[in-house]
Amino acid sequence: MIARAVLRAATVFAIVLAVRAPARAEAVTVHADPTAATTAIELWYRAPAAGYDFRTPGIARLALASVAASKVAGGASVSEIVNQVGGVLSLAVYPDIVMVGASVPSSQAQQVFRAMTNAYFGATITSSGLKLGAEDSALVAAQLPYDSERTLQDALFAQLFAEGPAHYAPIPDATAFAKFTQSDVQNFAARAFRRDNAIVSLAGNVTGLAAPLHSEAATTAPLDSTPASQATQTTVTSHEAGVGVAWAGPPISDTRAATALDFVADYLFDADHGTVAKSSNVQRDVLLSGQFITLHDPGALIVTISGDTANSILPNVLDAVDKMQQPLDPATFAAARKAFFYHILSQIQTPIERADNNGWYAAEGNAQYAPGDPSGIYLAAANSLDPKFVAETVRRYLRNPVVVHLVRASGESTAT
Amino acid sequence: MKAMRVGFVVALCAATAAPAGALGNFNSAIVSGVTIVRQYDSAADLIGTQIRLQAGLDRQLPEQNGLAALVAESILQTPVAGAPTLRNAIEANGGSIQYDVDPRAVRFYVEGLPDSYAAILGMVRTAMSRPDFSAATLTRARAALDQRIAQNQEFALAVGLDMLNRTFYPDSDAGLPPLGLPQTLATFETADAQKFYASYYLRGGAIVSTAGNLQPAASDLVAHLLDLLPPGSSVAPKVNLPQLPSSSRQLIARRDIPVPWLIAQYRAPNLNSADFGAMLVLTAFLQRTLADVAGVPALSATSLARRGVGAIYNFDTQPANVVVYVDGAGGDPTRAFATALTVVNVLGHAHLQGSIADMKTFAIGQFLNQSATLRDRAWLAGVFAGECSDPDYISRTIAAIEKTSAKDLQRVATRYLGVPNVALVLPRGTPENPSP
Repeated sequence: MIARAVLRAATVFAIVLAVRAPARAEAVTVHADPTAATTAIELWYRAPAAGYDFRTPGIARLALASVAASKVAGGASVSEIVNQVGGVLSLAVYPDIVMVGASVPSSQAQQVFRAMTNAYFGATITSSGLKLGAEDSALVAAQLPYDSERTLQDALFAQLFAEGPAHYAPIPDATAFAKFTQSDVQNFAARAFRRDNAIVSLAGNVTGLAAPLHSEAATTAPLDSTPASQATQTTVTSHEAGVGVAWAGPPISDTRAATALDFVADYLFDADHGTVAKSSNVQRDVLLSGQFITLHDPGALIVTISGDTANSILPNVLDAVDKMQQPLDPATFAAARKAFFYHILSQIQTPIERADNNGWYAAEGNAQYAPGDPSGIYLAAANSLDPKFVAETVRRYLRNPVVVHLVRASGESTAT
Repeated sequence: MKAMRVGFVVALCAATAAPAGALGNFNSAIVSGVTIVRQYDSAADLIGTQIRLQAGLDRQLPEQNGLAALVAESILQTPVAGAPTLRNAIEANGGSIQYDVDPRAVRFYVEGLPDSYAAILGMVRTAMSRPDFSAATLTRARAALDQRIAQNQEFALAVGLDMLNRTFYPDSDAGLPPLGLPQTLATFETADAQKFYASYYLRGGAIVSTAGNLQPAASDLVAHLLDLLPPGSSVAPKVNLPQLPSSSRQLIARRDIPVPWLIAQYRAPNLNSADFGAMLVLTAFLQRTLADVAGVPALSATSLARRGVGAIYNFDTQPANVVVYVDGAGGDPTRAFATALTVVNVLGHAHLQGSIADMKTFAIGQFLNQSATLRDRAWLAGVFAGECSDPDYISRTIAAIEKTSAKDLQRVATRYLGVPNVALVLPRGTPENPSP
């Protein structure tokens, strides 16, 4: 039986891994679960989505997709190999970091890992790979305008950050991808996806995977953005109505304050159970969501509200934040923090969720702060929270938000 | 915490089936008539338990549509441990509770942190054995159900499945809308809920399946979670639902959706059938073929998840069925569907040469990848324990797929994937699409 064989092999490897578990100075993060039937393999890179001069929005998405679609040395492409084994390939592009990941049966993990590192470290891009990558990227870009949450996120970041990668949307309009030449994309891929810029995140059954260890110091330093000097209100046209607010928050190094804002976002703005989302005046057509986005420096708390009556909910959001400037009563706080623990851990159940989580925190510069990391730093920070500290953190960071209104109309966006 | 979320609309794909997985450390036993399954996983941060009772749709009479859901929702709305509802009490202790009303069962799923899980299970045990069906609780339950029903109406796949199930289960209420309708829910009173609960919330045939970082106290409680329910089992009332007087196999509905959807349903082999493995391979093949012929360059999950294309093998119910769906984001969905069916028909009748090893590898990978959450793992172990008396769904599934031959594939394709029932869910105000 395959399953039994994998289980035995996994048990053996757990011992090997314990012996050669990478030190934290190395750009590898591993969460080994010898009972898992799948393996998540992710390569994270600190690379600006809009290009190193910020003048080529979309180039990172195109490069990621083109490498995935390019056949290596006459064989199959990464995308084909992952698909053939019933796996799932993920490409993620954020303003300052990008990721290619695969979730595959553990018995296929070595083959897929080898294919991914060969393709990406070699920055292999063929002309047909570039064509497929451009089609795939254009498809994703064409659908983004219908995703009001994402549209609001991009618009909020553009206002919140005056300079740096976060000022630019990671995925531009669908027409952008056809304009790049193979040489443009190849040059970007060679610089961004080089071996010593990779942060490898592995999770699940990692049997037999030999990660190419190198010092984290060799990777590009985290790419920070400069917050705007003053808050703005902006109107952006889109396919859906909505409104969003954002505040700059603490850096990832301030783990207690960052965790406090995670708690605030969860308590007030989680789409399913947040107190604001459950307000009686939130209509069924409204989708409210909030999160603290942990970035190297600074982080950002954003709240997005989509739907025709979104503007009527904005006062709820701002009032709720104002009230959090005063400490919650102890019983409410204790219950909310317990629920917060659960919500955090429920988001990292599967190997792919673990790899995403660990990879993100490593790429933003604090791998050990990842929730679920054996160091326990995140849970210790969450445990250290008290109502007074949370209120202080809100008073310190959550003032004067930037506001973006989405309107269904033609015309240019206007800043006020 | 966290990375920027990219808002995919995958929820609708999870609406019916699911799959699960990890190489579990399985243990099962029957305690007081209840099948207890445990999957120990010390690497997990949480514990999840599924409670499956024979109190699903088929226990309703035709005039009782929605009563099974109202009873289940009322249990979640029952005040417990000083909290206004069971759901609130569980959330305040670091957990969650959900339920699904299936054709043959109702399934509760309770998840939580290891350090408070015993307390959470205690609350579930209390509420499930002494539910509150007062008028106030029923009012809250109706409101919650009305909201879920309205949300479901926005998902074309759910709308289509409701229509198809109505014709798939002609001899019971199993095919009626899982949550009922607002107008039927409004008619039920305390006595209706009490009677349904007393008749069907029994230990017989129940399955409690738990997975995760199970500590001793919680492990003991799992075994006795349903002890307070009466012993005995029930049978579904025999009813004869009038079928629509038509020879057409096509159903049509209109909703406020942006693109048309085509949803087809086939009868399929049950889980304990010798054809189970072959149908898994065929379903995976259909899924891949549909994605290919839909003309979408789907390099990654990002691009594919934004398209509604898929095939689901619902082997957790009897009779089992396969559902195939295509949305019209890339044009007329009937064309992609017809092309995929042609490929399957050719596969069913042509002389196959070479190996089908690639198809089997793909099917195993899909199964394992779609079965990784605790919820899926608890669900699958419970289903396999109930149908095959062996909760090790991973080994059984992989073995079933591996022993599938080319002849098996052809036989199963010919036997099951003939003419389906089809539901078309169209945007309001557009002309009807022709059937494939």
